[in-house]
Amino acid sequence: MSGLVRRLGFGGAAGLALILIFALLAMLAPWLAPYPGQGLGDPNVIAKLKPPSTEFWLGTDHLGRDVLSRVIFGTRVSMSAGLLIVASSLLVGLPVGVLAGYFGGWVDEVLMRVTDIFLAFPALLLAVLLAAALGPGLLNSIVAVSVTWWPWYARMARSEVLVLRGQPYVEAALLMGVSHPRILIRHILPGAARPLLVQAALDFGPALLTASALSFLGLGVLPPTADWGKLVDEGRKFFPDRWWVSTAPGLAIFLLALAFSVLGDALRDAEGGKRDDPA
Amino acid sequence: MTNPILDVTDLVVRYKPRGLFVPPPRPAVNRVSLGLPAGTTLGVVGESGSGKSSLLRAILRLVPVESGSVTFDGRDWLALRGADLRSARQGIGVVAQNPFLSLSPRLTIAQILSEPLLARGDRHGSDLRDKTAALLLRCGLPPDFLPRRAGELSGGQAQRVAIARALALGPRLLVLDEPTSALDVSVQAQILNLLMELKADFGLSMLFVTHNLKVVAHIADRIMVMQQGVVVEAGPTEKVMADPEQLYTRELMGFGRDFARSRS
Amino acid sequence: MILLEIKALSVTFPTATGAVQAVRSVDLQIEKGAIHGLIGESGCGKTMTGMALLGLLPKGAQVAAEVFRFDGMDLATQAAYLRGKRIALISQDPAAALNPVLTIGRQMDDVLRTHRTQPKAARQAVAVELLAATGLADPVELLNRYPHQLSGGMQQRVVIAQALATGADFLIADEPTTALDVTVGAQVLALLRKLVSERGLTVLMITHDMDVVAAVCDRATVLYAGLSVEEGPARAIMGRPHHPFSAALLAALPDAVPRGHKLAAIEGRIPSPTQAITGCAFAPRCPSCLPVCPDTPPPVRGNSDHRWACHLDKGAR
Repeated sequence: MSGLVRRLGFGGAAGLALILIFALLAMLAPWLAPYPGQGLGDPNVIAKLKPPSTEFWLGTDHLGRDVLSRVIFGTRVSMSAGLLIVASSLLVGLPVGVLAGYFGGWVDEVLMRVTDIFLAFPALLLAVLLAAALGPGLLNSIVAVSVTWWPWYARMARSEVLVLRGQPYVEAALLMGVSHPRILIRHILPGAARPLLVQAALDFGPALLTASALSFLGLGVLPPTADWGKLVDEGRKFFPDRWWVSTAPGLAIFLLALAFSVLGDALRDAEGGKRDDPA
Repeated sequence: MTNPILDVTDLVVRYKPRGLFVPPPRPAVNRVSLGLPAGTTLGVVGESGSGKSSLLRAILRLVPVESGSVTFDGRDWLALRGADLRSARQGIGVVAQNPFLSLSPRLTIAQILSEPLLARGDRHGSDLRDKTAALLLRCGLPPDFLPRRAGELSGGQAQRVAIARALALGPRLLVLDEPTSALDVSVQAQILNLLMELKADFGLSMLFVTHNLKVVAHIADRIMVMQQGVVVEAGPTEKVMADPEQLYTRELMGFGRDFARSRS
Repeated sequence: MILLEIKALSVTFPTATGAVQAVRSVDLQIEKGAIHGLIGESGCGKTMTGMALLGLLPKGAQVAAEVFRFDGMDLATQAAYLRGKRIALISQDPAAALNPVLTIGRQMDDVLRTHRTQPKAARQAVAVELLAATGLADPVELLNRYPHQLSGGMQQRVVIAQALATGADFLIADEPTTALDVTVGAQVLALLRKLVSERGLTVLMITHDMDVVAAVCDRATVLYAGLSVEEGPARAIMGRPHHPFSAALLAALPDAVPRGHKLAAIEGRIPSPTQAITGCAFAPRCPSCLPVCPDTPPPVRGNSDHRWACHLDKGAR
């Protein structure tokens, strides 16, 4: 444990701890939430818009639901949305970039021009348009954001691979008669994947924010399910008089995005010292 | 006597011009011919821009050849494509200048040494482990180096690993690109001794490319001096060293302890 | 006149896992107007010694010395002051020493401006004169060029001209020819030799290359594991080395034996810089090691002109 703190630094370790706490909240939501039923969306109209109290730690919303329970259940949706966006973008972007960078020539031309087309649109605008076209829903919003997200990974993977491809040890493998798929798996992918994974950790926050933004605009999850973005949106109408409805989910978005950003920075610093050059 | 294992005739290598309206550059390698009889060592000496590296990379099929022919082991080397080229390349072992760059930083020595064997079709198992250990031992390192990574080794040790890897498939030709230039003199001596032993034991043919005339004069049977893409002098080592025809060759011998004697 | 005098210089880096002794004990005495070679292999402390003279050691370095004097001044406190005024560095890689986005003229002028109060035209004349002094053809033209338009040898000449522009009379040349071609390196060495005799410079030539020492050095010091093991006239060390390490270093050169014969490699490795040394540092690798060597520090033998630290009465062989 102390070794981890030393490698990541205090900030990075704190970020990681916060992420783990949120992950636990998400996994154990039915047991941790004081009112699991309300967390899932059951209304409780006799206790509408109550301020924080010992009964409802973070108050209740306009349908009388416990905000704390809503936020805890929202963690599940928001975290998985962020994770799915980053993962699916990596899954598309990494292979595209690796193939383009490794083989070069017309493969590179075709793949990169397609990538450029996606990069030509402002990301959020494209995501909003796509989400609107696909219709609201969690999965659709994830797809919409991922479509605008993967080209960045493709670009980055390509530039990493261009560096790796010129490394003498990759050339050595080629000269030993090692096949292209083997070189890709053994030498190129591990080298290219690490900086991309760091970038993915850094991007989790923005992914979360974008997904929340779509929900806030009504293009994300459908009621009664709610992610944090939706919760902020619901509370917006009562702000600032009933400030607690929006504040708690907003704070959760802020904290988790910050935690990933700090962890990503720490990972990048830890990685930076030992890239592939021996120096 | 013996047929040359490597035969290069009128090889020309020219890189693409850097812009649309730039005239094509002077060839990096200009009509170079060489023959390497089996079991001998040819030293190729030159400074930066001499074309020695381009020649070597062309022979290894890493840069395209404009014209000329290369025959390796009786085959038209430049005509090989795809899988044929891949398997034919296994007949040539290559050792590069900086072992820390030519050995993957992520793999263990055992993985590095088994890579060519696996590429040939060997299977994982105790047989493979024995082979890698034997290779390493032959190059002067005990088997307890197998689980380590290149970053943990000294320059000399890492270069021994690179040589062991080059020998893994029993190549007929060893191509050495400045193999001792990154090493201290005391370590350079160890590596040169190792190469001479290996040459004697396996009857290896070697193409030794370097900027250091003194190193190559020690190990090569014949020397070829390149300048600006062309061969300016070639011949048996003793003759070139004792009585160089070209002023340039004498300049390459340059300064040093002989110079010091003449200065006094 | 002795310009630089160092006795028992040590450079230590305290770390969590123990002290790293980059330089254990180095002695140097350099006469004004001499080229003094500092010979050793990687990890012997030769570059760290040079950096200590320049006051450019990395953070955390602890420097200690019995004597650490340059022209009557204490280097322990004055190194940073002397750097760029009396002492200048010529590094291995001239391309890295020059700023790629500034013209040669601008970079020369930056140096001149900090050291002289002259109008710009006068400074430019000085720059042209200095570039010409380093053997660069067409120096006026050169002022408008960028470093990448110059060959490695020309870049190194510009670096030398910059060093002269500071007004320094003591140059620390750290492997100045290693990155250059043999023929170009020979020219740069000849230039340094010429500048020494014409301008009365003094040079500390840090190198691993015996040929460089033989070509231009008047005297030399051999370092091993952060210790000076032999000091004397360069020709004497090249011709008849007395310390077994100096001898082994020369014997390992590829032209020391006839072609194809086994070279006298030095087996083993240098002691780790964290390791404490009780006797002679070279003992574990020494071909003529005596029973006394590993445990007792070797006595200094020879005379003031040529001395070495060894238990053997007569020196190596």
